[in-house]
Amino acid sequence: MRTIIIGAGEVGYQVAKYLAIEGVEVVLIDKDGNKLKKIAEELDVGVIEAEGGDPNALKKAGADNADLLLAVTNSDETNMIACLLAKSMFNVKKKIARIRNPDYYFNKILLSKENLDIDSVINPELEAANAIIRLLEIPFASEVLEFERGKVLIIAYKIPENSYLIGKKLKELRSSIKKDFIIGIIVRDEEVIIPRGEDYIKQGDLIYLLVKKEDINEIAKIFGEAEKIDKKIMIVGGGRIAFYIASNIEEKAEIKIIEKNSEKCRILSEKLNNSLVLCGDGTDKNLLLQENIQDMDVFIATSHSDELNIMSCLLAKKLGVRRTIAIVNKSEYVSLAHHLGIQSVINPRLLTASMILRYIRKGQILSLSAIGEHEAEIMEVELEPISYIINKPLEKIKFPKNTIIGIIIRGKKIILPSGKDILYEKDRVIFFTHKDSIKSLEKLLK
Amino acid sequence: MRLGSVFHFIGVILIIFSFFFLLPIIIALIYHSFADIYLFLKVMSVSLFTGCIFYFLTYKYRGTDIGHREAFITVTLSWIIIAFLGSLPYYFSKVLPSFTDAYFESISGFTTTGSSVFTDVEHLSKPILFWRALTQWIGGGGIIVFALAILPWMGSGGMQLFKAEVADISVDKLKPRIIDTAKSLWKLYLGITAFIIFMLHISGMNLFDAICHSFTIIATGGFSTKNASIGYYQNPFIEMIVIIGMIMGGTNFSLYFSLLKREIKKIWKREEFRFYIINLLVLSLLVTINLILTNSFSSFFQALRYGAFQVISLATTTGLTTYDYLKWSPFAQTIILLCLFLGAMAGSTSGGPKIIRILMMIKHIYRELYKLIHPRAIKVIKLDGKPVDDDILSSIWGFMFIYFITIAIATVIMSATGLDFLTALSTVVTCLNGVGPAFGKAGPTGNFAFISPIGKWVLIFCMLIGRLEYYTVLVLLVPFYWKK
Repeated sequence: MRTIIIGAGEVGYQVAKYLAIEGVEVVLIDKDGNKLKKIAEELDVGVIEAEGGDPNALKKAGADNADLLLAVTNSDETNMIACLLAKSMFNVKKKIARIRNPDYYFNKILLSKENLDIDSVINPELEAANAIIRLLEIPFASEVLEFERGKVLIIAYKIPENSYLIGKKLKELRSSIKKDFIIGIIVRDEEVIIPRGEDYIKQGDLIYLLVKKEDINEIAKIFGEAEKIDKKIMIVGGGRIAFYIASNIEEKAEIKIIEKNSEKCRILSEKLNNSLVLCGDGTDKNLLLQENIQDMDVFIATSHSDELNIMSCLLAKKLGVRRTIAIVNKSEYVSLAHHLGIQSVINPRLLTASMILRYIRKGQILSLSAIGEHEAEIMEVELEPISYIINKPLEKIKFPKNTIIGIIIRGKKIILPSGKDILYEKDRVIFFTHKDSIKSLEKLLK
Repeated sequence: MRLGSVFHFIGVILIIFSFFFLLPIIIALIYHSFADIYLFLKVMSVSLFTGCIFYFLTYKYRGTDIGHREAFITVTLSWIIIAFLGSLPYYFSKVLPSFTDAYFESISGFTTTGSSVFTDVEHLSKPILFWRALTQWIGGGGIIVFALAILPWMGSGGMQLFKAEVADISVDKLKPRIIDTAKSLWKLYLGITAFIIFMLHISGMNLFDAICHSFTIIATGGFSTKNASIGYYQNPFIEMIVIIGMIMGGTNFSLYFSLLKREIKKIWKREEFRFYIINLLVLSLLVTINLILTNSFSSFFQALRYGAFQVISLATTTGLTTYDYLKWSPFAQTIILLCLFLGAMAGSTSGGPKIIRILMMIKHIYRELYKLIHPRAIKVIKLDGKPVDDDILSSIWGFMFIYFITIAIATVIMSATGLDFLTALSTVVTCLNGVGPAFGKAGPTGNFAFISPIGKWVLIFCMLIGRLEYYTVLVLLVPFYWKK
């Protein structure tokens, strides 16, 4: 399988790294020779220095018999041209493009099979905004992953002081709480644990909790968390992410957006109807106090600068905001920001990279989310008729170490499995697995 | 400044305009009024002759285009000259022996004001009455717009002239080409007029009166063929039709195109339209309730019938009457006086500052208050969900300033001619906004004949700048306009 990646930025690099490790033949095209040199030293991939929309470069990269083209440069137009070339000149089977401009992204005709024929279009800002909107619906979550079109959620939950859960064995919890839920992963001081029934919960643990969407409120009550949705929202940075969030929820929430650039403020104010747009600096304490920051439910930092986002979140936290969410683009900063006490850190590039990976591995594996610094994975798999694990009770199957089954989805039924349950073909199963066991789990599924 | 092409174009407009005199000639033929046939033939030849002189003396300028600078003087001069030609039937026939009176009556017609110097209109001949109504109908549709509709060769100058005459807050170009816009506007205008004629006629008005009244209703003018105006008929159905007609005349014409495209929802979504209708409703109800409380009428229906008619007639700047509102309570009179100040929707035949400017000013003030609480907020003012440029906002405040300054200066001059304050103020406002009746001796049962000649010329100037919305006329008075 040959993959051509156009654009060697953060996204292109992350995907290339992942694919190269899996043994895929990857060719990277970028106009920045220095960047390519650095990557070529680190990864086992081919590099070509050229413009993204250059047909000769595509030919040189072997587009004639490539299976996949990934266009992830900073320019939408270049990405679209690259996909068009791949379609018309080289007949590349699958094309994925990053497109930011909403006028292109939401244009069904432009992207349709007859025209650009892009198989999957990814808009990082929109993905980030959606991730934040999902978070806002569940006030106690620091991360929310959706499965089965939102019917099943995996929520990351940081165990606070005095939590009812502290000191409890997972086994006890399962028998005492009547609602269906599974704790699939515990992250404790950088260490990722796939827990068993005997494991305890400690204060400060980050647990990954699998629940049905309809049970969210009940679970929140049991955990002693507020059920109400966050209504008063302050957003720093008036870029596309802020716009997507505001335009989606401004009817039901009170939103204040702070943006430095007055021209951007004007455009935002033109496009939004019920949001308050403020021209100023997100780290300006006086401005934040003037706008009653202490009464806000959530503070979201979405500016282009990671440092500004982290600092303004810390300031907001100090001024009394319970919940802070930061957009952080440098992957090195993600765990740092977590450590500093920012509840949720969203990395649009990692989000994009994982969306692309999810798409590439589509087929048997439906979706995939990396936890921590890729220490564990949550994997949604559709079972094939030849799979070793079907048609026998779960207790008879020898699963690899550190792997648990989260949930079984059979047609419209959602089943939390016990030892007696039997897997059938076409079942969709969500696994929690440690990175060391991924390979053996994949073998088991085939 | 190419005055040659200005006069050349005025010549063309005058020649086109001359043919309007054929209509009263037809009326005169129908009623066998030979004196009037002669009268209008005489006026028509004067008009044609003037047009031809202008046209041929500047013949070498034919085909030259009119720039935005020339457009102002072209439009203003056209209106002054046409009002002059329109006054000749009154002057030649000696129904108004004073030229000042004749010119006042004529420009009051063309600017769709409807203030009259006639003490008794019922003794006037049918063709003269028809001409009076026709001047309002022509003025409501716009003389230049009419000329543009039938002149195929106007270049970009057409747009400039259109802007100078329509002089609205935002000129909706309904079609990509100005000639098509002008054509569809006039077609629509004709269609609505025909509709109102039909409705009035089946409600019991005779055909001649129905035609004359529909001309003044759709133009939001206000000249009637009866001394008691619509009150003459004592017919609630006619009053209903007139109310609907006046509201239609005060509606932005672009809304009719939405109506023709069956986009009814879009019409109600227009903030200006909602504000217009709600404004009329609230003012009507206030007057109605007050009339009941002060026992001016015995039943709610009667109070609503006369109260709403008067409010709507004055707020749409029409000026037809069914009742002498000077007999009403001070509160009702105050509301009526307030109505003189407003005007209806932009893009309609009505005069005044227009409801949209009021709406925009309210929004602007709301934003200023909002900014006191959130000093760093950036809030774009929107109309119908679309952002409004700050330039437009400042031009609105500029407009309102000129509006009130004009009222102040003109009121001072009028009171210098011996009028009391309320009469002076109300005559100025009624003429500036093209309403018609005023207060005091110029009220609904009175007329403007008693005003001194100087006062009349002040009002004539008010009507002209009010119709062309100040800037088109005032720009001619500043020195840099004339500098090369």
